[in-house]
Amino acid sequence: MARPREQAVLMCDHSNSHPRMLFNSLEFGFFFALVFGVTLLLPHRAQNRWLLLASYVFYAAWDWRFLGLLALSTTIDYWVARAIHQAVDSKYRRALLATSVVSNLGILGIFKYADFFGTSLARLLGTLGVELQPFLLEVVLPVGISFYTFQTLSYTIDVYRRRMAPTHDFLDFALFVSFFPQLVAGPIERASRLLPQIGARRKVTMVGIQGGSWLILWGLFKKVVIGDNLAPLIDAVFAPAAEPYAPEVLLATYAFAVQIYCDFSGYTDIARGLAQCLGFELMLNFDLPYLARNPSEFWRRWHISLSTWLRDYLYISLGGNRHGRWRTYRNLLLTMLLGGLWHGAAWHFVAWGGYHGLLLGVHRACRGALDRLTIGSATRQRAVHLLSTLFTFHLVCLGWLLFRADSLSHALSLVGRFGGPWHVGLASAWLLPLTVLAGPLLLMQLAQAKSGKLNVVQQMPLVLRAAVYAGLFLVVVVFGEDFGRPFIYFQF
Amino acid sequence: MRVSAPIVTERSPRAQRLRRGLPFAGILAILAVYTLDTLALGPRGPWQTVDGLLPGPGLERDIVIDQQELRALLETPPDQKRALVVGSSRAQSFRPQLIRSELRHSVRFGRIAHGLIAPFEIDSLVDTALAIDTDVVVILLSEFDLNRPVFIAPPVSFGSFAAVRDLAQLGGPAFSYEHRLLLFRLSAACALNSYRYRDVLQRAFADKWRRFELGDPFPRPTRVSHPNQVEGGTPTPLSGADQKNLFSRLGQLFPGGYRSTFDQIRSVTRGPHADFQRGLVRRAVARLHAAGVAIVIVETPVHPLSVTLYDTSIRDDFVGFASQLVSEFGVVFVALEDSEPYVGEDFGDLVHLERGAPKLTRTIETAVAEVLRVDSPLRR
Repeated sequence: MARPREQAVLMCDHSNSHPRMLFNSLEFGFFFALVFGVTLLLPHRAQNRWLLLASYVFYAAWDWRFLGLLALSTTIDYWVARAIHQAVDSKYRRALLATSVVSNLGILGIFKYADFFGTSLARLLGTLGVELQPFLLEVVLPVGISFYTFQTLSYTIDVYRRRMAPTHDFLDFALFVSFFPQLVAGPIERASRLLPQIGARRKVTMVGIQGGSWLILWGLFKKVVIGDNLAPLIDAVFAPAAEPYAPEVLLATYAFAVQIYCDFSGYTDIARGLAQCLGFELMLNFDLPYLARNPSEFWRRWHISLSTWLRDYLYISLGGNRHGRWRTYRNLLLTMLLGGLWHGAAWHFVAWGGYHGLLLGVHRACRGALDRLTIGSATRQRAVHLLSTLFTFHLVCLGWLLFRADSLSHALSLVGRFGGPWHVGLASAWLLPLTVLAGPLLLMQLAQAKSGKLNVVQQMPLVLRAAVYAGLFLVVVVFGEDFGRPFIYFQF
Repeated sequence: MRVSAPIVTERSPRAQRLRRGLPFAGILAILAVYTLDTLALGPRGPWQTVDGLLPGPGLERDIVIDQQELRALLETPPDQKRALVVGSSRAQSFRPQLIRSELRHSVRFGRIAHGLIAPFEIDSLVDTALAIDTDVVVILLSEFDLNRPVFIAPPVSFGSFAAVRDLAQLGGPAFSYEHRLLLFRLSAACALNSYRYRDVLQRAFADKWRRFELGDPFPRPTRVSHPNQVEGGTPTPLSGADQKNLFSRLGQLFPGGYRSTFDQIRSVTRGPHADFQRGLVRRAVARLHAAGVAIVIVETPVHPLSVTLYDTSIRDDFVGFASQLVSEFGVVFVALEDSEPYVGEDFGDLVHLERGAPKLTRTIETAVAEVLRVDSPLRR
């Protein structure tokens, strides 16, 4: 029988329009199975080379053209860190550090922020009556660039601060920068944690595989079942043309709080689980953030790898809390404004960062008074804690509204909806789906908070644990979106 | 009295380590998933209950009916023969209840028919047909099935690793690499019923509560399948005047609408897609033949007007292909000339029989009766 001519057989595959190699895609499942299987067969050094190759293949699956950027960033920081380590003169050391910072942030600036600042400047001049056609680069944002840039920067800064010695193995360093489980959306690992794990002989153990598999399963459940199934509700309300009523905005904001948590923490769980299966231990990135009792605690629990990065390399560099109250507030605000900008080149992200900076400042100012509220009986303490948690959650939700909106004006118009009619009847139809989807997450988090352990499922009796595993797996298979809806944080 | 000391069995440290390391919960979970997946979503699963939960007719309903048909075939007493009638939605014109009762006593007919059953699905169905010990497989086919673009919608209803392998072999390495996502999804559907029937299960169990009903402004897409299509050739264009006259006539004939079937008919073309489709049918037939199952191919009619909408010589290709299968695999081929004649009034639209359904049923009935009387090539 004649075989079809390849060129004449065209496939119209809708799933091809989605980015490849998402953790929640079947393609990644097959990719990881291959990577894992081969890793088991190799000795330590060869494992590192194999994982480096796999990481570059993984990144190339998104867009091979940006492999050069990844390699460039890796090369610059590898050599600069070595030069800093060898240099004695402090000015020269500083100049070397500046080389790394400028080149890394320069790349980030060109690819992520150039058009944003160009357009913003043109708009600003426009309001002053000066017409200017901004020169726009219109380049595609390389996936994960914000993450790996911060990761490599932290290495160079740590070497500069003499907190660690540079590595002498370029390929190990390249693996540190490109390690595929955390390459595109973190956690932003510190070299002092990950490089020693790369350099040391690792053990792939059954316990590691079990723990890793659980993290992968739970992460997938959060992402594809909870997060993705909530997405249509949120997309509908946050669509620029939508005219939602106040209760719909309220519920969609709650839903987005759940979605972004499930999406991002789900990604992190999968990343940590994959790494654990391969014998690595990545840092915890989320620690029940919605149970935080104040904004400071929220940032100690949310995107921990970024918040600690901002604290260690930005807030402290700005002076931290060492120069009086007002400088501390300024530093908090600046850090959070830049943190907001890190999330995206748009003013509503900056506003979101600024909003959190304000929250942190206000909390810092009122900390003493708030602490005094908890003095009293255990019941009073519990009540205050509960109210603080709820209050903090709502403050965070208001921030999410800014974050999710398309622009600052869109966010303000959505906030304005709360002053409009409250047709509760319409939104009541959403309560059940929202409860069904968010319910398992809430139950799990309460159990984790009560037991004080994040691995609460592993403490369950064997049969119950097996039932949870089987149930989650089937729910993921049946009710999960199988095209791999991209993770929200990939855009940053 | 001497009391013997209690026997204490101490595990070696290695055994203890091994015990600690073994993922008992994981193993138990895998067993539970496998058991549930096989039992609850196999043909003997609670499909009737699922049927009751589905909102109405549609592809998902047809898939559930398939399962009920398979269950009925599985439960056929050993003294009854099993005939599986397979085809696209056009095969739904085969009505088993119209079969004369004498034949129904000796042969149990099962009908697997719904939209999206195309050559790949037929190839996928071979494993199922063999698993239920089918005596004869009747494939309803014509150029309408073989010369339209390849349309594979994973996961539809049947999954077979052999069919996925056939697809990959037929396409070749470049095709397989380019369409690896499709192959991954088809493979996952073969491995897990819960993945294969996810659309059905979502529609039955989830759509009610996850549809964010607010009226039109916020409709929720409820289908998650994104079909894959291998494009076909370009049909001969119709002149503007011809098309106007034709549409006017079609509008009178089918006031309920004709556009979708018209477009389907117009996509009947020659090209590599047709080779591809024929390759899949050939592989299915070869596998059935190798397993000793009798095969009948019944040429399925289209409305007389439809025949004028594509190159009529394409039908000759189909008949030629069927004749090859007859000579190579001993297939029984019932061409349109051997059936009762069909007229325009027999059809509900351009491709589906309505009033003519009994004619098709009688054709199949006669063919099956004849084939099952032939003893030697059959297993029983």
